[in-house]
Amino acid sequence: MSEAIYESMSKDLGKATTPITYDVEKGHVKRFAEAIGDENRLWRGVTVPPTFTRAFIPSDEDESQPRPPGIRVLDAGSEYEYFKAIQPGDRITVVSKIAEVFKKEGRLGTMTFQVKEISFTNQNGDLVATRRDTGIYY
Amino acid sequence: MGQVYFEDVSEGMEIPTLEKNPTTRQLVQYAGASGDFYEIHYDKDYAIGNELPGPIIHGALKNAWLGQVVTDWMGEEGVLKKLSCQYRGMDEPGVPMYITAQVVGKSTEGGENLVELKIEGKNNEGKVTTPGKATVALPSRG
Repeated sequence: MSEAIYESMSKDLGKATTPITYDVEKGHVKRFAEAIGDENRLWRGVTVPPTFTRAFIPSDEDESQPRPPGIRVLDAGSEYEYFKAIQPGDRITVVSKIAEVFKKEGRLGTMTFQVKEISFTNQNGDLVATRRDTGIYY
Repeated sequence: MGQVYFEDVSEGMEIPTLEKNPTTRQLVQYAGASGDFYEIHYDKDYAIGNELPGPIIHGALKNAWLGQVVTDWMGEEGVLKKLSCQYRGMDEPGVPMYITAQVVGKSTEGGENLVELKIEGKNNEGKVTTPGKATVALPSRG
C-alpha cells in the first residue's frame, strides 16, 4: 500500500494548484490570534501572526473534508519567508506547487515525503510570503 | 515588552521563554481558525485508531508558538524575515510546552540588521520535539 502511495504521488511532481484568493478579514485574524493564544496588539487590526497564512488553504487541500481512508499523513515541518506585511483588507492569492517527492524506508514501511512550495501574493501583485511544507504520507 | 535594538543583542543571548498549556479545546479552536480539521487533533477514538496515544497538537500550532516567542521579543519595530520548524516528536494536550530561543548570529546585510535565532519547542521532560530557526531585522539605536 505505502509503495503505491509513492507511485501515485510521484506523478504529481511539478503540478501547481489553481489560484485561490482569500480576503484578510480582521475578525478572522483576531480569532486566529485567540486560537494560538497570542495577545500581541499588532494582530488586532494592524497585521497578522507569522503563521496566519496556514488559514489560506491552497485550492487542492480542502482540510474541512474527511481524508480518504487508508492514507495517513504527518506534517514534518514548514519554512516561511516574509517579504511584505499582510494587512486586514488585503486579498491574498495562493498557489501551491509540488516541488519534491521522495521516499524513505522507516519503522512504518515506505514513507513518501512531499514538499510543497506555496506562494502568497497580494492584490497589488506583490509576493508577500512563501512557505515550504513537508508532509509524510504512509 | 519594550523595543529591542540591534546593539542590545549578542550571540548566545537567551530570549524570554514562552510557556503554553494546550488543551483539546484549544485544538478545536485552532482547527476552526486555521481550517485544519484533521480528526487526529480532537477526536480521541480516531487518533487511537491511527496508532496515536490520543489527540495530538497540530504541528502548525506549535509553529505558531515558535513564531510568537520571536514576535513577543522583537517588538513592534522588529521585522520577521524567516521562520522554520520541524516536527520531530508529537505533543499532546494537557502537557505544558516551553518555547525557548537563543541568538546564534548577527549580521548587517543590505542595510538591514539581521539576527538569527535558534528556537526549541520542548515538552515538560525537556525533550525538543519542535526545533526551529528564525531571522529577524531589528532597528538600530544609531
